[in-house]
Parts: sequence; C-alpha cells; structure tokens
Amino acid sequence: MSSTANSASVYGGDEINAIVLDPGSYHTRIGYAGDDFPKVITSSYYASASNEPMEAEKEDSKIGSKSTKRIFGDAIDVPRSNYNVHPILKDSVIVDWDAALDQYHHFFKNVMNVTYEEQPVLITEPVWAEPKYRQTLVENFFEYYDFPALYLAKAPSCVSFQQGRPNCLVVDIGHDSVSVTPVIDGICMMKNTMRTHYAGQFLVDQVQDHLAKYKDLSVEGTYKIKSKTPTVYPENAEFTTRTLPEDITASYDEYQKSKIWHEFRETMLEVPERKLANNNMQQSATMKEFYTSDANTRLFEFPTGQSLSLNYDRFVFADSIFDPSIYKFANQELTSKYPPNNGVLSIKSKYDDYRPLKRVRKAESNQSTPPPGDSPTKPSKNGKHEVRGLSQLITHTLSTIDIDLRTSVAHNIIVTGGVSLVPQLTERLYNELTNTNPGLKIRLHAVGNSTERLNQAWIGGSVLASLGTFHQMWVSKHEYEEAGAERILNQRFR
Amino acid sequence: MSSGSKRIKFISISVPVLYGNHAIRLTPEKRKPTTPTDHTHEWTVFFKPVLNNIDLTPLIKKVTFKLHETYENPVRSIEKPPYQVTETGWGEFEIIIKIHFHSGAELGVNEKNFQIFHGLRLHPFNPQHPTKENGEVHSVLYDELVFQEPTERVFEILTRKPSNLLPYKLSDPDKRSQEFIRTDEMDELARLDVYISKVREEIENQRNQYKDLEQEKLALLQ
Amino acid sequence: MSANDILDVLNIQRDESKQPAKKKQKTAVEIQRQSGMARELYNLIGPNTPPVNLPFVGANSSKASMKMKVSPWTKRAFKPNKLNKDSDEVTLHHWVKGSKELLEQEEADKPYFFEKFNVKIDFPELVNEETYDKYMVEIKEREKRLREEKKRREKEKKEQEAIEKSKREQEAKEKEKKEKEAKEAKESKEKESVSASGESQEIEESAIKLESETSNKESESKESKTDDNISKDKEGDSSKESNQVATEAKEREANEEEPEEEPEDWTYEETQYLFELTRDFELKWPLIYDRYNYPTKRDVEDLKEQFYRICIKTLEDQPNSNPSLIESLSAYSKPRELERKQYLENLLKRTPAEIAEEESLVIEARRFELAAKKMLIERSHLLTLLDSPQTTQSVQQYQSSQGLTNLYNNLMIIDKNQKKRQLQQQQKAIASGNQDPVPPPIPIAASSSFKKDRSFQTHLQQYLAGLLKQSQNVNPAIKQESNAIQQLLAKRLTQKEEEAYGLHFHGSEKLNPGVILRSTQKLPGLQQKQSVLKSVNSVLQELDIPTAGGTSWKPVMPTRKTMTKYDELIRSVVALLDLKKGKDKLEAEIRLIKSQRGLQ
Repeated sequence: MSSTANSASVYGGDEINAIVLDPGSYHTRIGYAGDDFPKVITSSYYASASNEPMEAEKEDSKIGSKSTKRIFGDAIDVPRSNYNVHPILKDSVIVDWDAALDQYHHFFKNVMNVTYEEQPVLITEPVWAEPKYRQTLVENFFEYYDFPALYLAKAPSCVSFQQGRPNCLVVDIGHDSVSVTPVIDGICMMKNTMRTHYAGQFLVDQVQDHLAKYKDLSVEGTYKIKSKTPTVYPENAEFTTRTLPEDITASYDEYQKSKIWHEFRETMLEVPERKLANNNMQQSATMKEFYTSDANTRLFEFPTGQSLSLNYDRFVFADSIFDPSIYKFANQELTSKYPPNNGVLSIKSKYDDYRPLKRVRKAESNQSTPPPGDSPTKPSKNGKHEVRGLSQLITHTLSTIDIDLRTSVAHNIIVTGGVSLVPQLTERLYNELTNTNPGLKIRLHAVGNSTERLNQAWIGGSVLASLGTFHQMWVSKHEYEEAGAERILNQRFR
Repeated sequence: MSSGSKRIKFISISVPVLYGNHAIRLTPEKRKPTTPTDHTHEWTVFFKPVLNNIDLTPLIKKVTFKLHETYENPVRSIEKPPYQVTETGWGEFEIIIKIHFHSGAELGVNEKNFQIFHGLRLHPFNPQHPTKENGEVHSVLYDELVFQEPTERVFEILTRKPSNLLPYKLSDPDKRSQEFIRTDEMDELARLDVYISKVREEIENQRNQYKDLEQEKLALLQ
Repeated sequence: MSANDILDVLNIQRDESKQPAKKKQKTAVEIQRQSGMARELYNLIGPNTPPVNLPFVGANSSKASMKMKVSPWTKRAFKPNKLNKDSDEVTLHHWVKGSKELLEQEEADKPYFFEKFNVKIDFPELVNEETYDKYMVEIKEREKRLREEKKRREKEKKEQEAIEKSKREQEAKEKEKKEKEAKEAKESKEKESVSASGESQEIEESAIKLESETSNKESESKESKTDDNISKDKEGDSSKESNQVATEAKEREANEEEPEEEPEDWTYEETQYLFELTRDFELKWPLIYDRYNYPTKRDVEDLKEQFYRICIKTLEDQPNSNPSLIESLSAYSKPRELERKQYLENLLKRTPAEIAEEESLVIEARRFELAAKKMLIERSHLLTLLDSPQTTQSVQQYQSSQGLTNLYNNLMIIDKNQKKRQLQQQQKAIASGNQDPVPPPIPIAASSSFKKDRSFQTHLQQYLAGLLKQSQNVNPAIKQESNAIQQLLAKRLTQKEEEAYGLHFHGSEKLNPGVILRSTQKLPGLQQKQSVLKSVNSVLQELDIPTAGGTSWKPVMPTRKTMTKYDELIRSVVALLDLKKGKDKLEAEIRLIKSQRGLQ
C-alpha cells in the first residue's frame, strides 16, 4: 500500500484505486486494481420490462433516472411477469450500450461506491474490437461517468501480464469465441490473431441440440420447481411446480434453461485422448467402444430431478473443440449459426477504406515467410472455408508469426478461458501441438486454479493498473479530445 | 633369521630339470603274469635335475605322480631319487607330477608344493622323427625350476654346486630326444633371433606404410 | 522414591507441619516471580511444567505499542506525467506515508517516482522532405550499381550453369533414349499399347520439365527472386518427381502473370508514417509490422531496410556521428535476412523422423569425435614406441653366448652409474621398510673404498654384498655366522659362473616369491589377453614362423635366455599388431575423407 521509494522499488506497484472492468460474453468482472480477485462477477445479461418501448428507454438511460427499470446481477433470476432477459455483449463486444453503461453504473455506484473523480478505469477489450466500437466505448465512458482517465487494455495483453510472460501466445477459449493471440513485449499482434466461434456457446448449442433428441426428457428452469423426486431417464420426471407470476417471458425462460445447458457443459464434457472421427473405421469403432464403457458414463440431474446418463456423446461434444465438424446439428438453424470458419480476422484500420479488399489478403498471404500450408486456407481459392479446430488454429497462428519469435512464443502458450477447464483439454492440446509442430518446443501454461483461469484477464488488468510505471499511460478526457480518437486509439491504447 | 627363511629380494635362482616319460612297446617276453593282457606299453614317468650330480633332496621331501584313476593306488609317492614310476598300460593320459618341498619353518625352505602336468606319451608324436623299431618313445621336456626371491636357506642349498652347467655334447648320440645340451639353447636363441628380425622387418615395412598414409591424410585434409 | 513416599507406603505418620510446607511455599513464590505470563494462563500450565522457552516480554509492551503515535498516511493527488509537458496532466490519488504538513513541505516539484522509468528510445529524427528526396536518389543510385554488378556476376554464373545444364539435359535425354529403346525391345511384343501410352506421358513430362527450366532462366534475372528460385531448382533437380516439377512450373507461370516490378517507392509520407510507428513501438519490429497499415504492402524486411538506410544517411550527414553505429546499421542486408529466415523456416519444418535422425547423427558424431581423440592418443603412443632405438647392427655377433656376454658387459659399463644410483635408492627403500628401530645405515656409496672394492664385482654380487653389509649393520651378531651369501661372495664368481648357478639379479623387477617353472614365467610380453595372443600367433604364422599350431607355442628349451628372447619376439609382434591396427584405422579414415570429398 505504500508508495515510498523503498518499497516501490521492490515491487514496482503504486495503488491508485483504479477500477478494472472486464466485460465478457457470459460474465462481466469489476473490481479494484491491486486486488487479486474481482469484487463483482456478474452475468452479462440484464432484465427489463418488456412493455416499455425501447426508444424511451434509451433516452432515459442517458439521463440515468430510470435505471431502476433494468435489473442486473443475481436479481435477474427472480421470476417476474413481463420481464425480458437480454444479453449485453456479443463476442466480448458490447452491443447494448445503454444497458451496459447502466449496468456498470449500477455496480460502480451501488455496489462499489466509486468516487469517479479520483479513480481511473481500465477496461479490457478483445483484439477484434473495431475502431468505431472503441471510439464509442471511450466516448461513452468519458461522457457518462466522470472518470479522470481511462485505459483500454487488450485482454490477451492482460493475460500475459497476469502470467508475467511478455512474449506468449494467449489461447482464450471463452463463451462466445476461441481466440489465439500472439503477444510480443506485452503488446498484441493484431494481424496474427485468429478467432473462431467453436467455443462455449457452440458446445451449449450442441448439448441443447442433442438433448432435444430425448423425447421424454423434461427440461424446466430451476425457478419452476417446487419439489422433485429423483428419477433416471427414460423414467418420466416427477416434480411439482411452483406458483409463478403470470406472463413469464420466453426470453427469461430461455435464459434460465441456458443456465442448465451451461451447467451441463461444465460438468459433463470431457475431451477424448485422440480425435474421435477417424478414417480408420476399426480404430474409431474401438474408440467408441472405449468411451461408451461404464467407466466413462456420467449422470446429469436436471432440475426436475430426472437424471440422464451419457457416455460417448459427452466426448463427442468436447471433441468438437478440436474437430468442429464432428457434431452434426439436427437443428438446421444451428448449422447455419456456425458456418465453417477458419479463424481469419480482418482488423479494420483507417486505410482500409482506400484499398481494395484483395490487396489486404495479398499482404497477408504473401508474407516474407509464407506459412506452410497457407494456400488451402485462402477461402477465395478453394471456394470453401476450411474448418479450423483449436489445435489447427494455434498451429496456423504459430506458422504466421515471425520466425524469430516463433520458438519463444511456442514455449509460452497460455491457455485461459472457462471452456479450457474441460477435463483433459490441455493434455490433448499439448499432444496435438507437439505432433503437428515437431520442430517447436511446445509448452502450455494453464493456471491450476479454476476461478483464476476464469478471471485471468481481469487479474492481469488488476496487475497492470497497479503498476507504478503504468500510471503514465492513463489517458484523460482532455487529452482524448485534444489528440483525437484515432491517434489515441492507435498509439496510446496499444 | 638364523633358520634362513628370510627371502632375498630381487634375486631368482633356477635349476634346470627334465621331466617326461619313456615308453617302449611290451614284448611278450617282457610281460609278467600280472600284466593285464590289454596293456601294450611299458612306460616310465620321471622328474630329475638335468645334471645328475645335483642333489635336490635338501629341498624336495618327495615327489608324487598322480596316475590315471584306473591304476591301482593312483598316487605314487617317491621320497628319494630317482623320482620315477614305471608302469604298463595301453592309453595316454595326463600325469600330475607334484613336488613336495620340505615344509616347516625351521628348515627354511618354506616353498609351496609345486605341480607339473605331463601328458604321457606312448606313441611317437612327430611323424618326421624316424620311429624306432622297438617302438621306443621319449617325451622328455626341459624346464627350469625358478625360485623367485629364494629364502636364504634355499639360496644356500642351490649355490652349493652350479646346477646350470649344461653339457655341450650328448652323452650318447642316440639319446637326442632324451637330453638337452647347451647347443640346443644356442640354436633356439638363434632361431628366435631370426624370427625377431623377421618381425622387425615387417614392423619397419608397416611403419613406412603408416607414415605414407599419414602424409596422404594430411595432404587430403589441406 | 523420596523418603516421604517410603513413609507413606509404610503407613508411617510423619510430622508434616514443618519441612514440606516450607518447600512448597518457596517454589510457588519463585515461579510466580519468573514468569511474566498472565496469572490465568499460568494456572493453566500448572506448577509442575515450567515453560520451556518463555521469552521475556516487557510487562506491558503491547500496550506500549498501542500507545505509540500512529504513523500518518495521507491520501495525495499526484501527476504521473510531470516531465512530459505536452501531454495532458492526469491527476491520480494514492496514499503516501507521512503527515500532510510534512509532505507539503517536501513537495516542491518532485517528479513522480516512476516517471524515470518512462524512457524513450533515441534515434535520428526524420529529415525534411527535400533532404529525404536527395537521400532516396542517392540510395537508388547506389543500389542500382550494386544490382548491376550482381546481375553481371549472375549472368556469368548463369551462362556457366546453362552450359552445365545443357550437358546434363543431353545426358538425361540420351539416357532416356536408351532406356526407351531397351524398353521397347523388351515390351514391344506383349504390351505394346500400354507402353506406348506410358512413353507418351514421359515425353510430355520431359517437355514440361524443359519448359519449367527455361522459365527458370527468365525469372532468374529478377534479383529478388533468385535465391528462392535457385533453391527451388535444386529441389526440382534432386527430386525428379515429374508431377512436382509440373506443379512448380505452374506456380511459376502464375507468378509471372503479374510481373513483379520494383517494390513500390517509398514516399515521404509513408516514411514519415514508418518513423512515427517506429517511435511509438520503440523499434520492436514485429509490432511495427503488425500495426503497419499503409496502402502499400511491405514486409518487415522492407520496413527495416527503409528505416536503416534513411538512418544511415541522416547519421552520415551529422557532424559527430558514431561511425561504428553506422557500420552496424549498414550491415543489414535484406536478401540475406530473407535467406536466414528461410533457413530457419526449413529448420522448423523438419518432420519428427528427420529430427530423430539428426539427433542420432549428432550422437554418432560425438562418438566419432571421442574415438578420434582416443585414436590420436593411441597413435602418439605408438609413435613413441616406434621411435625407440632399433638394433641396426646384425644380431649375428650376439648369437654365441660369448657375444652375448660381451654385449651384456658393454651395456653394464654404459649404465653402471645409473644402475648404481638405482641400487642405492632401493637399499634406502629397503632400509626404510625395515621394522627395526635402528639408526639409518651409512650410505654404502659414501665410502670411497666400497666403490673401489666392488668395481669389478658383478651386479649380483654388489647387491648381495650390500645386502650382507646391511644385515650386519642391523644385527652385528650375524657377522660371525657363516652365511651362504658370504660364501658365495667369497667365490668371486664371474658373470658366466653365476649363470651356471642359475643365479639372476632382477634389478627393480617385481617378483612373486615362490617356485615357478621357467616355461610359465610371467614375462611382460606374455601378459596379454588371450585374444591378443591368438592374433599374435596368426601373425607369426603369416611370417612363416613355426608355432606348432596351437596358441601356447613356447620355446622347446625354456631357459632364462630363450624365454627373454621369446618375450622380445612376442612383444615385437604385439607392436606390429598395434601398428597394423593403426594403419587400418588410418586407411579407413582416408577412405572416409575421400568419400566425403567425392560427395562434395
């Protein structure tokens, strides 16, 4: 807590009570810099009365008087009539600005009692955040709150700070997206970043899709259940329902159900040792046999008290992280939700406007060191997207990194994000990476503590915002206005 | 010390000896009634100093000859010279000649008993040698008993008389295969010298080749 | 057991009122005084177990510390960017130790503690547009010159290559022709149709190959592509997989469709942008390249090249620039950098099998190195062995015992002094080894008379005399006793006579006391492994030396002399064997070197 010269020289920290905000697709984390854990971990959803017109709401939220209309945090779970549940973020990017600002205000003011004038805020952002989005973010924060200064930190940079590895490859397997970002000297390499959507939500959709096949399975949100008797599928569920307020909205029910899927995803999935889909029929058969055995069977109890036992399928779900094409959705809608994706991101810059798109691609593929096997990834040539599973994604990213950095990056692969907690995932990943990159020495770093891994980006931000040397990096509203959004976004928030 | 059992260092003293066997085909008239019918030869195995005037009895207590087990009383013990055993038989086997020195510290000999193995020969083994009509076979070997670091007592006994004075002539021209004379040693030495010079030549030869090869290698490496 | 216990057991009442009471009182008082503990806690421990280690704490130390004045902390505002005037000042707040007043006194214009860590990298500013244009023209000219030179050299090389290539092509064609003919002759009857189609394919393929080669030549004129092409050429040549060649040719065609002109020129604006980024990202090239978003496409090598060459020019124009810095900057070569990266890329692309093979090769190489080192040592040993003096004279003269005696005597005279010294040392050693606590014997050599007396004695006699004298020194009582040694010495034997007695002085040789047979004497040359002796025998047989077949060939008459000779023979054969071995190794090495040279 001291800022005297002596102690500061030892650990280089200087506490200024900065706020660290890490908005994630599923959970949002808020806390004080210098803490080892966020003060608030809350759902990135909100509930609002459905009969209220949206336009009015927007105006209200600007003023902040009607903030009570929105419900945040655990209070969402309370069944209310005519209250809809909405997501605030998508792909770690804020989509519903009003709700977001309202939510942050709620937690800043009501929960943490922030003194805006004295405490700067550090906000994490994904690598793929577009300039326009970043501009909106900065403008909104300066306008809506009275923070003296703020900083936008890229989430992978934060993770690299949390681990204390300036050169690393951050593999974030989150709720909405899987991203692979090389970090050099604590700064993200934008051009090499890859992202797919074969992440948590993808798995949840699979689970949902698959369980729809069980006709007699009754899936009800926990809020409906009053009492239950344990049964095992295919026995019917035996439970009594609670008396609920009328007009529970569909979105609320959906939200509650998604919690079940989420729990299912967290508890049931396990990554198989090897790829399940195999050209060798016999081998696949023996693997299937192995994973169908009793030792690999798990029971999941739904809120209705009905239990379902699964074996092979729970491995199939998890395998889809590595081999996204293994699970075939029964629901056509979901199939179209996940088009084949090879993870290539195009990050826009101010110069994108005056250059034809073809050129961009050219610049990427005609690098000084053409990555091996690059040609099939060009979607334009094959006319068909290649699907990249997790290890292919990482391998490809590695192959695009400058050869001089590749070895050090490959030696510092940080695996983070909630879905990375699926059992056996890191082992499988390590094996696949070592096999596909024999020339590189692969080392994976995954935090053992599961809650720490979930909040790794926030913790990194907390580390960053409590460093004495960092305090020269804050950007004030005044500076922002003076230098202009473009310069600040590119040169200061790097 | 007075008993003379102290050993004299850096000294060795040797006594030339002969051992081996003579054998002769059994003629019917030589056969005794006790001789088994299948025995074909009469042989004598012996151990003696080369010079007859050397008396080893102060050193040697007895000499035992261990014959083949099929002989009655196979270990024959001879306490006085001549140390020899005469027997009849039909087959060749190895005889162990064991020399027992006088034991007991007071005598000062203090040497361990000593064994010589001798393969009994009944048939001529060198086809080049003309075989004698009576089937006489002599397998006599020359050797020397070397007392390394002899005790003072042994030293005293052995320096009483020069034991190595080999004769320059055979006592009998017929006994060529039974005796060893000084000239034999000389011949042997000359032969060995020839061999050595042969080997030396070869070494010189190889050495030159080696040096050539080394040159070649150096040239290659440059 | 105390007396009290015994009394208790015996049920004897004792007057308790006096002594025990006294004792109790005493202890209780003492303990209470000792401990600084609270009474309640002390009661818990009880009187019987004294506290093991009770640190003395001031009776009310905790209270005292509580009374102490709290060191004040003040929440203060501070400006982290004091030095950087142009940036807007952010005011942040942190807690500082010290009272408000004190801090305000201290204040002044003290910069923020961490500000000193905010260092900027120092490199030359970008010059103005005019100078920049001048620089670029100069650079262009220089590069053009270089390129032309290179082109010329390459042309020569290419011509040479072309000649070689045409030769090779011809050869290949001839070979193909021959093959074809042979094939035709063979297969014409049975599989005419099949072979015909196969051949036509072959012809096609060769045509493609030719085409690709010609296209190679064209493209070679382009400087930037040369390296790449050459490597590809090699690949193509080495692996004559026609399919591969065909695809490569296709690729090349595709490349040639959009002719690769000179990389777009660097405008002043772009260079400015580059310098800006370079400053922002502090020369971290991967990051600069990552954030480089300019309409022209540039590789990280292009960026570096441009930055470095401008920097060189700028520095050169500065009056007091560092010449070594300029030199290190101009060491950057883009083609070489590209080549280096290509090599690294190839290194990483190795398959696991290749890696394993390489590792095993490294191990093998290390083993070879070790073996070579060992062999060098062995060879040096061998050479020293060979350089030892050889007999040059004929051995004929030593064949008689007379001759040998002469030789022996000659040798004796030569190294008499040396031996004597040895002898003395031995005697000293013997004396020191003696257990009897006696005064050290008078050095024998010290008396001149001794030397004189014994000068005509044989070696053995000298030794024995010494021995005798010593024993007499040790125990004068023996002096009177008639001694075998004395008797022998009295005889004043000659060398030859000694031989007659079978006496031999071994010098410093180590002997195992006991009786042995001469034929089984352990001579140094015979102390060899069985396998070595076997090969010794075969060598002897090669040299037409009769060995009577077996491995245990020995002299017929094993006297001391014959055995020594025999030993000498064996030793020289062993030396010969070593030499042969060395020679074989050397031959193998030469073969290896030759084959390596042959490959290169």
